[in-house]
Amino acid sequence: MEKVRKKWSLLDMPTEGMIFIVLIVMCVVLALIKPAFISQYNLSTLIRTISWTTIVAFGQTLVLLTGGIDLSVAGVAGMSGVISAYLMVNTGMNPFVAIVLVLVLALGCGCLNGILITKLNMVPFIVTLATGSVFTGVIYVITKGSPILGIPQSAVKLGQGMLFHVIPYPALFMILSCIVLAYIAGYTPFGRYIYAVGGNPKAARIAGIKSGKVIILTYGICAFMASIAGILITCRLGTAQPSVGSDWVMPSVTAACIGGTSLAGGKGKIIGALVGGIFMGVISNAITILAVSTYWEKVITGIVILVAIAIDRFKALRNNEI
Amino acid sequence: MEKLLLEMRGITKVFPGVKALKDVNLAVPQGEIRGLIGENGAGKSTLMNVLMGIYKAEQGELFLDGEKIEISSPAEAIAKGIGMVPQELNLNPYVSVAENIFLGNEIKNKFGMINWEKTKKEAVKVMNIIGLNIDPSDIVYRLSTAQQQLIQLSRVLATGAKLLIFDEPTASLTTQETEVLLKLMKKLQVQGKTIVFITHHLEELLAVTDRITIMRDGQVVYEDDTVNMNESLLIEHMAGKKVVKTERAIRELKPDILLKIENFSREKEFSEVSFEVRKGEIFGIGGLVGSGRTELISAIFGITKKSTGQIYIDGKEVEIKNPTQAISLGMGFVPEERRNHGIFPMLSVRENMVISSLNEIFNGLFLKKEKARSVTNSYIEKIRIKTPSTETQIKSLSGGNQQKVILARWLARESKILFLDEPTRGIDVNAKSEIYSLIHQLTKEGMTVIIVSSEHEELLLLADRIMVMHEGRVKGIEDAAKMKQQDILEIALK
Repeated sequence: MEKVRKKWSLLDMPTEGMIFIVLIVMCVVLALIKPAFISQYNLSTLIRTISWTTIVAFGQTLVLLTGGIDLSVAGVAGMSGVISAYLMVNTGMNPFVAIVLVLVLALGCGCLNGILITKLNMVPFIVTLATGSVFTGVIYVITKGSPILGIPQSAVKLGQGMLFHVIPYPALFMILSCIVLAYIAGYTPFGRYIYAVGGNPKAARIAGIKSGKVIILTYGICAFMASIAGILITCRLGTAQPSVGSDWVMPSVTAACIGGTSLAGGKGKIIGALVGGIFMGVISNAITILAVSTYWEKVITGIVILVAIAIDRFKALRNNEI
Repeated sequence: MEKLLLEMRGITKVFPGVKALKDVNLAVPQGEIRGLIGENGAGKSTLMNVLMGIYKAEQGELFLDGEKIEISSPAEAIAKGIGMVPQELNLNPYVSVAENIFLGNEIKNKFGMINWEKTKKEAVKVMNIIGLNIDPSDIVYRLSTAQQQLIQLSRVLATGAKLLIFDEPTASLTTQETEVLLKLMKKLQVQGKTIVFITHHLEELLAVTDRITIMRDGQVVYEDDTVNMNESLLIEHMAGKKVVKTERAIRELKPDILLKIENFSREKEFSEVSFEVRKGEIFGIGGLVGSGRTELISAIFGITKKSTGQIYIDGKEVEIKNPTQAISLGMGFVPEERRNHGIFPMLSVRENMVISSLNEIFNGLFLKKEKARSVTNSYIEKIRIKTPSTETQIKSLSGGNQQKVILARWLARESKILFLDEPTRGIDVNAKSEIYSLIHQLTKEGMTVIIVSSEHEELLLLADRIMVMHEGRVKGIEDAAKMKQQDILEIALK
């Protein structure tokens, strides 16, 4: 078979690779004009701030791969923070037992999303919008709007501590979950089924894939990740704020999309969410250290998303994918 | 001579690789009911789509009322008085009858807003023409299929069409409803409308038309006044005189029954279908589009739910509720719509091939990519799939090669029973014959194949026996060696 040698082009790179290069360039420029950017304090803060939404974005990426979306991550994260704090503070339960219990609960909440979507044939957007509202409601029923104070020190360490005084634990969790989920997505049958179900649901069924189970478990994992993030930030703050996680939904989708995940399903990578999450964090950080009005942050993030997706479409057009 | 309403001259339409229409002439006098008939793919629908401005013909001229016209969109066709009642209803089910009738043709007041009062009144007027007595405010999805069909017709009449095209309007109607519709066509004719009627039902054609045009392979092959026609004549011209029958060895089959289907039914799709397939046999299922063939094998494979029926494999009754169970019983399915139901376009050739056997190449921790690659390579070689590598995205392969990858998916799983639904649709001639010899080779190695095809030559060439279906029922099962091409049509339609 004749092989046509194409001229190498930047556009042949995967989206997450392109974003990664831009990210590196951005960091180098920032470091040159504002050396404070690479101070250990700034980097530690930066990477911790990134952790929350990026951990959520990993789960969101898997859901987006199935062709769905999970809007309930905010509710799950907030509920996880509040319930774990309630168990630790009000019942005196061992913090780690409380955390495990809450993670299992979150997994169940996510699977409930999946069951509603697959068994009752409901649209993911509406299902998770509704369950998200229920979960958020539970937070306020428990807290009546006021924070739960007095999280035990052993738990606070999880959020505030650092490995070797350099890497914040939340960042460590982020890296670990990135590795685990990338492994699941890339190297297990379940992971490949996620791509198949999202890429062509009808073909997946004919190929013998139990799409229902795949989707239910995927939403379960997504909620599990949101729960980890919610618990970690509660530990970090030392108090359970009812509003925790409430603004994580769109950033989690955004990080996945900047990293090349398609909202139509079947295309995307976990590593893309990591790159997208860091990218968003660096922009936000740059705005702070360059003393630009923070009001610009959303404008700039919005433009970045549009550019990233436009490039993606342009690539697809060029490769005759549409 | 009568005044011609429609004249199509020298229409030629080419699709990539296929000449769908070759120099077609069609002349329909004012006030006539013209029948248009032909096998699947004969070019009837393509011709009508050219007339409606959906396709653009490479060559040819159109005349309406003796005047040369150009039509480049359905809106233009409608404006010129041509209307089509399509095979598939395209009503908006959630809005009122009146709104549906005037969709795209809204009655507005002087402010540009829709005048609902007048819309309803006019809707009643239009429906009166065809004796339809429905409240114009009714929501469409509550009505029966037959009523919806008549609303579709009302829409066409509301545009003031003088030439009406009916594309298989009776396909989903009961006998009584069909009779009503046929009477209606006669009534419209009396009112001065000209009608082109496409159908597979010979008796309907003979009952209602003035003249019949028969198409085959993109050409008009025969045309005569209906009084001079009969069913045998129609079938003979639809099938063509040439009997393509390639020499093929008569195969000795063991008498063991591998698959037995008993009393299979699914509401509105097929009923009381029973047949037996022997080990190593190629069992063909023929019939016209809409005869329930695809629906039947989909239900056997568990893609849809059957209403009644039993499946026996090797004499033992088995339960199949979903494709996963079918696959674990050794079945494989190559679907009709390769792009929509077969391939995972964004995944590689390798992933597409091994997707149904991932559990076999998973060692509990990792998918053994090397093993997957070697399996893929072995099939690329064995059945000659043309691809740059195992990692190429499947969507960049040609149709024939994509089809081979899907076939290999089941070979890799060592399936024993393979369902092929239109396995060569949209595939070029060379790839076709490769797939034919592949199927033969597989059955020699012990595979049992059930093949659904609309191309009767294909069934005659491949199958040991052919089951002919029509309107969801089995009309006959015959030895392919004893059949000629027109036999399939004859069994189906008589």
